[in-house]
Amino acid sequence: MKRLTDPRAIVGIDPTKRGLAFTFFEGGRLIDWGVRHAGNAVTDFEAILRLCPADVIVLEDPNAERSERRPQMRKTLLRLTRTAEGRGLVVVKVSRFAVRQEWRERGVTRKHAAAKAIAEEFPALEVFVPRPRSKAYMDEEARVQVFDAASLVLHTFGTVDGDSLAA
Amino acid sequence: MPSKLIHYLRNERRETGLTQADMAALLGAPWKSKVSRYERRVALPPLETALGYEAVTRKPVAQLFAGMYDTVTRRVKERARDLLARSGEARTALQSRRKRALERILQ
Repeated sequence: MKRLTDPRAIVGIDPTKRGLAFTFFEGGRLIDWGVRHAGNAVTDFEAILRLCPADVIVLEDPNAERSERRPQMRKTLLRLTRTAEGRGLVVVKVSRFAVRQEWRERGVTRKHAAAKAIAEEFPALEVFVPRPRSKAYMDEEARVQVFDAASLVLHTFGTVDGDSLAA
Repeated sequence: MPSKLIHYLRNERRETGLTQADMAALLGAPWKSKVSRYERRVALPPLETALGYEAVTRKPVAQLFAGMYDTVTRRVKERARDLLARSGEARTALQSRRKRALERILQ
């Protein structure tokens, strides 16, 4: 089992049309994860912050080079950033392209493979690993987003072996 | 670094692979909504339930309720400091034992 290198309370958020996926780390440990979809992104975001009192929020940077987010989702990301900054939280914006590049360097080119790699580092997520898409036209499962949220955090802070960062 | 959450019941249950319904059955709760209320920190479990969690997860209550334990410990230390400041010089054996106990709390 691995830990994050940063012991602060960190929430990674990945907004999608099916709600907000989040992963919460504290003391380097993975504490909570899931997808909230009550309808309004900001309401969902505040509900997540109530459950996971974070110091740092990791979000995708919608203005980063080669960002593929649609205008609606860009607006959502900017609204979430403003909400987090309004609460005095540290907001870290990450380029999705940079995250993908990092996975590619490790030989991982598909979301399913990335999910499996993350679950190997944090075994609590094993049950969330989605089935690989058998047809190109099939929609990906909602739980994939949890791994996308985790990817953002892992890319930003990196991991170490569990024993080397005692909480 | 102090814990930000008052407890880690949800995290510990999910790590064991048990469902809320399993946990409710193990704790003798009639419905899983009880477990959900504890996990969302809407309600705090009573002592018997907290000990039930310890039996299920094999982790001490102080670790399961790490945030609450940190807060309580800090308050007890503040009170011990006050008590120590108010007490005079220890003259009898009992008084010195009491003083040592208060000092141990502050360590």
